[in-house]
Amino acid sequence: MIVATDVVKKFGRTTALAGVSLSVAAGERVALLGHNGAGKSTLMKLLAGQLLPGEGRVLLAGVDVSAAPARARSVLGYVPEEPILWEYLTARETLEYVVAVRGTGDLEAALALTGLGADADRLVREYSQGMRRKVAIAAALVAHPPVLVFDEALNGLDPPSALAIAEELGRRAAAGAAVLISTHVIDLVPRIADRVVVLRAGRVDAEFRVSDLGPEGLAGVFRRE
Amino acid sequence: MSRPANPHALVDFRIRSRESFGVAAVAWRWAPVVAVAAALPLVLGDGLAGSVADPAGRRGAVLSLVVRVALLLAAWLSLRTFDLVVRGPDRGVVDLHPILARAYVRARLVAAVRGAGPALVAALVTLLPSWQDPALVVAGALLLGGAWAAGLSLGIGVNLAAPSLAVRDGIAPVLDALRGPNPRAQAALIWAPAGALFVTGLAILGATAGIEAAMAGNPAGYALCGLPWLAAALGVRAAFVDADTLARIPAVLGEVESTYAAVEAAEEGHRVYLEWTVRWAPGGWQPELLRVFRHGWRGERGWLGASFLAAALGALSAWSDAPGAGRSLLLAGLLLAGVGALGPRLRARDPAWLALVLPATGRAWALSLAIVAWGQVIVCAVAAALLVRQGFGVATLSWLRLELVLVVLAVVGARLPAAGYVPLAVLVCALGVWR
Repeated sequence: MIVATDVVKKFGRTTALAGVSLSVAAGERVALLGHNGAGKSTLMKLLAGQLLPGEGRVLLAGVDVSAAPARARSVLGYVPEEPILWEYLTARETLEYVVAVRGTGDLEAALALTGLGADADRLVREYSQGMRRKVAIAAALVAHPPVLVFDEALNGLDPPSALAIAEELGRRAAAGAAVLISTHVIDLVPRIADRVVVLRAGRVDAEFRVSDLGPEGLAGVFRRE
Repeated sequence: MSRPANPHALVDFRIRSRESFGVAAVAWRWAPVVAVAAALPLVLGDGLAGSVADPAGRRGAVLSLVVRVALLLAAWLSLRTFDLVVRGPDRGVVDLHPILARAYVRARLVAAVRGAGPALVAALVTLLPSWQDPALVVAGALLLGGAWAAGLSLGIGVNLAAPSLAVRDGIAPVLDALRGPNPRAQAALIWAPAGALFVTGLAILGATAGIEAAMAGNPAGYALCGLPWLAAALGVRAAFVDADTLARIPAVLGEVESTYAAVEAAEEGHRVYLEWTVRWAPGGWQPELLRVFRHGWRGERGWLGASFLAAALGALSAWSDAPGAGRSLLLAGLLLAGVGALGPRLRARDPAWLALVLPATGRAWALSLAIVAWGQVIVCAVAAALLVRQGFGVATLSWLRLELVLVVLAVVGARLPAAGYVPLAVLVCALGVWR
């Protein structure tokens, strides 16, 4: 469902991605981990069509993101690291827009899932940072796209909301969606992923199933470095 | 008012109904019209000097003013439409979802017409002094209306075409030749407004030739007045044809921004224009002034660079033996207004925490001081040209007037939003050239 093949991305003399290959099958949840500057956000932006790969290909549900960006958008639900929203719309109106342009979606379910129901008719400019992130997550989920890419999306959420969204991602994967989520909150990883990919200096450094982790868990993986 | 069915227009409708508050919002919106009406007698006193008594000469002078206003309008619209369709503030939301391309272009066209409406009225105000000459008023209105419509629609059409040209291999050598130190993709974005202005400018000049022929007794000349309107129709068509490129914009902008980020990281800590002047600033202002120089130069390099190039234009205009310095002062005043506009532009870019967390001691004054420093390129270029061609007296007086205009623009620009700055800048420039 998500396929990145030998992706290279350079910014001037800096190589952000040095030949990354990664795939997420339908029904699978993959967590992308790595130090700051490892290339996670660059990879996420390439998947979302926000950057062009220097070399390699990125496919979402079989659609080449560079060649057919409009079609790629229709299969993707993307939450950027720093969501931008319309300050003078309410959460409900923002989701109404998303449902209108995607042509489908369950607005009330998305509001309920993210816990925005009671605040859905307040302007976004009155929201806290966490609430803004919830709007962005609801916008990514509302139309049930088959590919979900979340860039640090659960950071800053209150624990009950983070867990509720993690469970929803599990349900979406069970229904056939491919989920890729980057995070620094390693305690959450067992709840949001079946598999972990670790990026380091623009390359895939390690890849393993969550069920294969030892008693130290992910902390052990990073402590060994 | 009924809700638009177009989701992009509905968003615009909702935001507009909440962002605009009552009488004050309406007043700001129409302030440029009032400012132009107030400035007109001051400018005309200089620009039409010597031709008021002669009807034919007056026609020529008014037409000459109208053509300049039409070109100014087209130039502003070509840049304004770039902001609207390529770098609009809603890109962060729109770019994450499928886009109803034609509906989006329709919504942007309507938004552009609404936003630029007062500018057209302000331009038409320049025809008021000619109300006793209906033929001139009709021809001038056709020209200004056509320039406005062409600038707007061609601006949207050409700016929308730029992102797909930016990644087309076939024109890579052309973009490489034009880009200077910028990323290749940026070359297409930089030159798109110039392309729109070029086509609109040709249409305006063609229509002007037609009006001159008509005024000289050849009614067939009036047919050429339709040229800008024809360009406008082509622009609308181009906008809808190019609509499908909208989905390519985020990747192109992402490429441009990430390349600049890499370049700027490399030059961090040095080569910021005028940074060295900070050491002579009053102690309390130094950190703020340093911040403005660094943030301003790195964030508005294109704007400042264009201002410095425009200084050459100012000097060229002042390089004349014609008595007085009125025309060159008017031009220099407008160029300085452009530098002063960095005030609202930079303040709009300031992060919210700056006002919330840090004390504001000297912040506005530091911004004013930076604007005055940046504006010296224009002031000195014009004054130097006047010194050589007009002598010490004219040059000194002109220099003092321009410095005064710059200081006032800098003080105003560092404190007002763009909506307030623009009409005041028009008035300040007009007063600056008032004999």
